[in-house]
Amino acid sequence: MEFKKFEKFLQNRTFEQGEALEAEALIVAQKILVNSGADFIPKSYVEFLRRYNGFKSDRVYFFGATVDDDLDIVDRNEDTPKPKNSIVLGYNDTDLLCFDFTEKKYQIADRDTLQIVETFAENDLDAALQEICYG
Amino acid sequence: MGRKKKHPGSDYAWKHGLVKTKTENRDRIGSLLTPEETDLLYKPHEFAKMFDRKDLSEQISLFTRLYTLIDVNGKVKLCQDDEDIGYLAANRLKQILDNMRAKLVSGECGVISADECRILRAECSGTFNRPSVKDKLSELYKFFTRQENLGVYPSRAYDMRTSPMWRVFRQFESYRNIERNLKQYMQKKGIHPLALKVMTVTDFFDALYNTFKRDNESEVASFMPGNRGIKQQILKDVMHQCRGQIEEKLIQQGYDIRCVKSICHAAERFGVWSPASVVPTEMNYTQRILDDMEQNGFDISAFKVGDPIPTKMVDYMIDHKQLELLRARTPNGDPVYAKMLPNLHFHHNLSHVVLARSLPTIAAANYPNSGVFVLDKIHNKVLHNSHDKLTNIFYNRQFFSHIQLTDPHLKIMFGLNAEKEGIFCDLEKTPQFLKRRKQDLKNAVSYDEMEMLRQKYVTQIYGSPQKKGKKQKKEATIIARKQNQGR
Repeated sequence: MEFKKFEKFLQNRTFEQGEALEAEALIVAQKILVNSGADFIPKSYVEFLRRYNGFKSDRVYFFGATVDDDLDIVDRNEDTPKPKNSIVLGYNDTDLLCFDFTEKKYQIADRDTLQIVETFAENDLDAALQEICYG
Repeated sequence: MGRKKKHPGSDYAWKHGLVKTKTENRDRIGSLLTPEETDLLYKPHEFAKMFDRKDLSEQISLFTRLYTLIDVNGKVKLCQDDEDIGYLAANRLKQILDNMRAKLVSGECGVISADECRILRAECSGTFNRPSVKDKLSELYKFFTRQENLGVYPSRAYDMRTSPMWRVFRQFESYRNIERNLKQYMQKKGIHPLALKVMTVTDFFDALYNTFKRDNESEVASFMPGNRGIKQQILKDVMHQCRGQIEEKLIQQGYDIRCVKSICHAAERFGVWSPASVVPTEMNYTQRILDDMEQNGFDISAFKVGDPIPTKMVDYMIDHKQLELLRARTPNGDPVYAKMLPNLHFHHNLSHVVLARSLPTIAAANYPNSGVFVLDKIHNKVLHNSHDKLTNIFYNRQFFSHIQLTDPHLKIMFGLNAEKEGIFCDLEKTPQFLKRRKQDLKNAVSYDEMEMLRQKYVTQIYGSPQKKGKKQKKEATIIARKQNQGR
């Protein structure tokens, strides 16, 4: 899977990322998310995590199975208000990137109202990431 | 990356193994707090001292745990076995909020429309995004922008005040300032002036993106002078008024003076606070800097080691993309980065901008005293935490609960104690601002009324808005031709 749009955003930009994704960490994160009533992390996002396991650049955050508290997908899902039936995968200061596990779609939700402002197919993660990066 | 492992196996699994134990404990009332913390709930003064001594992460953790003991209305929750704990937690939480100059508010409210929210946000960021395929442009706008329907119209034909939806935009000074650019774009493109009457907010965003985009590759188009939005402007103004205090606060906290000076300079000049991207520069010339400058063709005869580097030189290097030459270095010669500096997020005092309906004009949500810059951790974990709710009741009535910052002069929060860690100034006392507010009030309109008016125009001129497809397009073609012939 390619992340061309996201990588274009990265050009000339400094960012931080979590430690490389470990298989065990991914299993732990999936297990806790499922036990908490959510669902598995979508496959396309796992692909993303293999390259960027947690990402932070100024106002843009994407979560991963990382020990960095700011970027930990489990911690952030526990304390971030989010739309129903979804996992929150990242945010900027106005929008959330979520995955609706019943519809199997990525969603951009307004961080205040939780209203869905845009949806993307499961295989269109790159466009959804771009929306958060430039939103 | 490259981090040393702390535990056998996955550190992440270890971390959540511990969290799991905490989660089990949470089921037992009172176990959220350590015995020491529980004891201090009964002693307000000692609690305040203990809270002050903790670092920010610990303060946020305690704040969140206390919050778990009360519900969104500030009433005691989880208190069947130990009412005291819940009651005291609410009081201690209030103590923390008072120190933040904040209060927990909840209730029912009317909210602004999604269109108004988008207009407000675009003004705040100063950019228009490239329209996505999912942005539903109106059929009539698509019709008017089709090649075969473009024509030549005089500039005076574009009267922006006839457009109901543009009147929603022009409540904001920033959009009034770009009216001329939009008119020029529409005239240059040859869009029929009647389109103004029926264009939706999404149509205007499309036209505005096209007016200001740098090229077809641009993902965003900046429309404010110097590529700045409202939040950048506010940061610039705050830095202009309080730079000395801000630098002093950060230096007191132990941050490298070169990093502090550099980020404050960038913030004052560009309105951007970005520890990840700022290049910390030396404050005085070093031998290495002079050597590097000489190698890059600079005449260094007037400078010597130890001389202060003037701001003009820093600005020159920024403008000519050679700032790396002045980069601060450790005694070993390694480059210094500013990543350890605190990151600031812009936060609307209203918390939810959709609540802007409660203001005299929605433009007020973006006024200088309506926003505050807060540490990212405070923004993400305190101000937008699980207590931060906006729930639909019906149509445009919503139930909200959030932490509201109550001091409009609080401009930067470096911690949870506003007195000690806040920066205060009043940005709304300038004659320019008073003029802006007067004009904003004069141009205030009701979105619902404007949308009704737009629908009326659609119906009057082009037939029922429900009529879609060939018939409607045919009608529009006939009218547009008539208008052209009339000129």
